[in-house]
Amino acid sequence: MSVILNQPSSLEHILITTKVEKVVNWARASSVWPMTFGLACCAIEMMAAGASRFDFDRFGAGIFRATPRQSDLMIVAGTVTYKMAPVIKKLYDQMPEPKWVIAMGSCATAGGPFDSYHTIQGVDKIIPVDVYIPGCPPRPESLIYGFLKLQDKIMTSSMSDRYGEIFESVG
Amino acid sequence: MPITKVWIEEGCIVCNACEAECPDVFHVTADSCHIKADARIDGQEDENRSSKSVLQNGLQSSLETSIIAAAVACPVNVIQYEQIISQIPIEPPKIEVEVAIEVITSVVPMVAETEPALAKVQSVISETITSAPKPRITEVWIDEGCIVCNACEAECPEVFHVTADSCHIKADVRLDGKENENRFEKSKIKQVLGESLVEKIISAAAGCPVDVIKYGVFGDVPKIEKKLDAVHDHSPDAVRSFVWDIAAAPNRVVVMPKTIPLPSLRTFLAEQEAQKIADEAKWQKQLADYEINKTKALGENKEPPKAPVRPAPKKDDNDMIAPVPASADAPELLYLREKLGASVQEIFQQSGELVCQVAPEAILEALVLCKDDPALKFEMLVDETATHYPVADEFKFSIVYHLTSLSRQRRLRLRILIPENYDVESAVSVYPGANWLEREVFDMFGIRFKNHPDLRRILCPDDWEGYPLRKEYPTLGLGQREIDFREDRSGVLMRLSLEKAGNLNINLKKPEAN
Repeated sequence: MSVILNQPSSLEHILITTKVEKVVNWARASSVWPMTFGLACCAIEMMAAGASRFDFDRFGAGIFRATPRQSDLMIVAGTVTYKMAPVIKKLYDQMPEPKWVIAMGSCATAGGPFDSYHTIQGVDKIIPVDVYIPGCPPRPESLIYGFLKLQDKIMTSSMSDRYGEIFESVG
Repeated sequence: MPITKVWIEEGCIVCNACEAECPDVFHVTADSCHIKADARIDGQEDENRSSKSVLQNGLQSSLETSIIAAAVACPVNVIQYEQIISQIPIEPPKIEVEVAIEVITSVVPMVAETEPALAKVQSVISETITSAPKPRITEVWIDEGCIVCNACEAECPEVFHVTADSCHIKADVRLDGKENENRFEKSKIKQVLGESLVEKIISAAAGCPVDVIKYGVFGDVPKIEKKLDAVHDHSPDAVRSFVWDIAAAPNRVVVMPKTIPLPSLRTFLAEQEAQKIADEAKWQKQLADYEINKTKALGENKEPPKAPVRPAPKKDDNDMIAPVPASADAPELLYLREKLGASVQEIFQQSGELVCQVAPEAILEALVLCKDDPALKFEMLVDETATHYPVADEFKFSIVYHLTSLSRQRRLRLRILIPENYDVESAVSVYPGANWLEREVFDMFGIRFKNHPDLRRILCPDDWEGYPLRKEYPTLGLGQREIDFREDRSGVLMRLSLEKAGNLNINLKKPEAN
């Protein structure tokens, strides 16, 4: 008769110990719903990333919502003009917490080639950005890589980081 | 503390956050957020913005925390409330008394030996006790994030000492005699120094690039604005000073691009004729020079120069056919000239494209004819746009109408040349699709159209200044604006682009040197 070593006990088959925060982060990172929101040519690459060849859905981010109220992620895909800026700000405000922003492409990152009278030099002038993706436009692989970086960020984030201010002010 | 009034300011984004926090008071409808009738004394249900009705007595205290939580949760901070704060008299900080006593006790034994000194001490004592205490800095400490830049020590070497890796508050000025950041101790500083060094400490704090120098104050200390050097001046005023100000640059020179002549048969033929005359004159001069040289050489018994050879005209051997205008032979163009008569200024063809230039007054007539005449039947207006020719003499803009006949599979370009401030007849009555095209022309060039149903800007924001596709419009500066939605990277990028425009002398006021 041989004894199998390193066999987990029956309890370890059914129990794992972890932190609530980690579970919450895991849930959030695994199901990030982006907003259907494209401003320029980068949006075409974003659509390609969502379509079957690249399939954003593999990472839980395939459900592009048509309303900010159901979205967790705003992918700013394209040139941000002065006329569009208030609209973007409003959409961002309408998204429920927790929310994240990806600045896709060089226009949304820093104005791109449009160092000009009509373009905001980066969307981070109006809303906070979590991940910047360079490229003009970035290929779907780049967007997916940027999204994986965002998932890393979500996984390492702490609830108190995000809500510390609110907790402090409410007391 | 009970909350007496709650109201919603303008700017609500109807996000439901407040109702989630406090459903007893807030009710979010499809387009606005209301303060509920149940909660209010006047029994109405609206934003309570104008009436500012008082809440029901029973709710004032019980819902205090949830109302505050809702106000905090509001993403756009439009929920306002009034709260009764109990009238506890604000006590002066106790440390003042202690420090005063400490100063007195420490001063007295040192100077009590002589009479005038004693008088001085007494005057100090009486001044400290009777007159209002001078404003002063009570404590100074360095928060986390110091970049060890030496700026504070340069401003106030009496208090700050910057070491290799941190910035200390000196032991000399502190009551506890330690020398460190004073971050946790928050030791008080000596009163005499606190009074004399008020301005220095405040200006050191203002000069801190990362704003980690904090201080406690007593009394009305002078306020010193944050100092900014020329390079890192991110204040809104500094940025604004770069923004377009045509009055500030009256001597501005705008270098207009050369006007490219419009392709036109008339100009093309004139150019060809001029070229021919120039060639002939050149040849004649060559011949005359030859004759002179020949007689000169013969007179000196030298070999005469070679006779000049007239160069043959170049032959284009490649397949490319230059798009030169040619006289019109297309039936559409001939028909148009026949119908419109003197209104047609010019007709020609170029690379198979039909061009008809008509008088600006006759454009509507020409469009109606093109659309409705069975011989033409151009049903579709593909595009309508304009070009700016700033240095042309007799006209400033050209407007082109690209027409397509789907039934006959032909295309036609109508063109008018107009001076500045000429109101063109709108094409919307003939081609409804011209509506937005003409709005775009108006937006970009400032050309106004008569009888247009809705002549507003279409691409630029409504309050835009100037017309961006005019040649004198600068690509940077004019129209660029401060975005104040968010404290972003201090507006560095915006500032850089505006500075770049300023360095190029593009229409911008330079910051005043001071």
